[in-house]
Amino acid sequence: MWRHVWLIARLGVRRSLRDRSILIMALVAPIAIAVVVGAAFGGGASVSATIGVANEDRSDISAQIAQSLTNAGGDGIAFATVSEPAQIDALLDAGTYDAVLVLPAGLGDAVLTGDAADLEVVGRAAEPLATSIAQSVAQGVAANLQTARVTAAAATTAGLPDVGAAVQKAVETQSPIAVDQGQVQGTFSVMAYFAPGMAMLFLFFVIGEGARSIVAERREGTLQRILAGPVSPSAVLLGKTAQVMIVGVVSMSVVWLITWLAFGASWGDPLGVFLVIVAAVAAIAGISLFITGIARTENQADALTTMVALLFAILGGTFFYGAAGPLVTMQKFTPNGQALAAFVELSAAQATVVEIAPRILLLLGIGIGMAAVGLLTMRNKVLA
Amino acid sequence: MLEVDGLVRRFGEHTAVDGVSFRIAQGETYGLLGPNGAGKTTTINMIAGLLTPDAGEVRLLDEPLTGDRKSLIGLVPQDIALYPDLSAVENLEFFGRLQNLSGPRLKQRVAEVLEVVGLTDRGKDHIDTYSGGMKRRANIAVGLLHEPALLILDEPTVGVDPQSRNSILESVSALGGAGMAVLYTTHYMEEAQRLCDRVGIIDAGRLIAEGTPEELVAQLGEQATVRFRLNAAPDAQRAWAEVLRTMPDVAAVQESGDRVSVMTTHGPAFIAPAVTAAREAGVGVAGVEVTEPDLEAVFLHLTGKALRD
Repeated sequence: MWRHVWLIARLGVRRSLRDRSILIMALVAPIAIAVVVGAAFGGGASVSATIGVANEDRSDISAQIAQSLTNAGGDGIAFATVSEPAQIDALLDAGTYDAVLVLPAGLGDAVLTGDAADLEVVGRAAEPLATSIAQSVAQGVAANLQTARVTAAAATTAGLPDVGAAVQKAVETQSPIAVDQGQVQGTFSVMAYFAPGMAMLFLFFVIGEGARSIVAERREGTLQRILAGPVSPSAVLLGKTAQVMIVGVVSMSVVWLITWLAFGASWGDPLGVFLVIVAAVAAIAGISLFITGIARTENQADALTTMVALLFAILGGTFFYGAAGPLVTMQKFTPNGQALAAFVELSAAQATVVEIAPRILLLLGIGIGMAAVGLLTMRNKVLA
Repeated sequence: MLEVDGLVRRFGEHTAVDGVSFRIAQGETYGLLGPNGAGKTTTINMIAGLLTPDAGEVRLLDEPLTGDRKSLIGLVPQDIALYPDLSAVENLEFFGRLQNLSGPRLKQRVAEVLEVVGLTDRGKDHIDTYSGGMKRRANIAVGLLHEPALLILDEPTVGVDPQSRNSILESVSALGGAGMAVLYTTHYMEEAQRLCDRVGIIDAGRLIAEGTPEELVAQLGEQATVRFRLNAAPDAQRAWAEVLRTMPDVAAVQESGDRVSVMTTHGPAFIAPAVTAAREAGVGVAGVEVTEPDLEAVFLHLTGKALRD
């Protein structure tokens, strides 16, 4: 059976690559639009953000952390001390800061006693990238504080007379800024946001056409001819699924490589980017197969795909940079929004694969679930 | 070779195929002759495993047709089932690989079938650049590719120019001679008469007669078909047809548009009394044609309607 799956998938990919309209939709359009929109949002260069550091603790340790942060920054990322921590929301609303990293009261004591202490990030809905960067910095600080806590515990156990001095030394030695220097100094190309967004929008059309090819082949008679041979309906469905996955992953990967190599837009950790691409394509493929399965006609499937693609693109943040209000919540409920968030975390916050794993799993879950329903429906309807 | 026993297929309330049974021997060309909608395509779709029968059984070489045994059949569907954006060679290679052909053997078979259907020179051209007749021939080539024991051709000459039609019929005739069993569906009686060793006549889902063309025609005895082309009001034409039915030695009268066909043992001698009756009924006769007994006449005799209805 797997030989038949491969033959059917390979033929579909081959026909897709010969189809100029698919090449335009899959490669030319997303890159062109990303270049234009990226330029409009800042010359396609880098994001700038001012991240406030609010020290509510006032201990020596928190002062050391705040000082380290405010001395850091660069390439458009600046840290500034928040003089009035009680006014954080107002300062964010006023645009004084794009995000604020809060060092909470009791942080120093918690470190000295070896207790856990959470850092808080307050962000603006309109500045998800700045919030993402602040969150990453907070994670770096927290990681170093863990080292300090271990030092405190060791000093206490060893009966050292001045535990505070040992911890202070540990904090100074393990500067949190050293850990997060990459994020702080890193640049985020706006193209790295819009290119995957546009690629996903157009993939709905490319993959949708691939999914509908099952119905088209039935209409044209080639499906019956395939099934008249020693080929099972499952092999046909798996072959078509593999076809849309291959076309989707290849086209989005090419968009990634072109925007990276030709325009210098870094999408982040290559492994993470590839996994998000696979997961996003799986989700889009699943939705497309579902739509093809439930639609009564090929034209209805086409129209539904267009509606869903545009709706998810709008809600998912494809057309704008920095959502606000209810759109931020809605983004979470779209595959586009989840994938874009993962791409932003990879590129802007240098997130690791582990950190974006929940989003990848969610996208894969959407893809597998929707594809299962769609394929079962098609097996009963189209291949019956 | 092929045994079809009591096939039944229903679509909702409509019974498309109702207890069809026949057998085809190795090297035999069997024609399934019937008008559009008679159940021919539904029957062959069940034989090819594309439709599950509601009742009945299909056996090929003494075994049920399942899984890999479907490779024993080559199906040439009525519509052109090819990828128009691929060349004939690419289409053949794809369908050949699905039939588990590969390597030099696949290339050899592709070249051979292109030769059989006369498309060697155009093999690398995309199908969408072909004429209708060439597409039909390429469609047949795919069915022949894996050297099936049984080739099923579903109305392969529909919409084909006379030259291509002749080429297709010659190819099919050669296949039967080479030992392949052929199931050929058509509503062109002249094709069935020319190609088929035996013919099954199907109407409204039932196989109503079966035999060699000669045996079937012999059922009619000396009956000829007299076809009148008329110039008359519908009511007058209908009244005249009723008069013809009452005339001696008339076996069947069938009306179709401005034409009336009569089966009679009188042959040309029937024309004079019929024209006299037409004049009396106010019906103008624009033309008359007398044909010797053939499969079309057999169908008319058995069903009271023409094959092309």
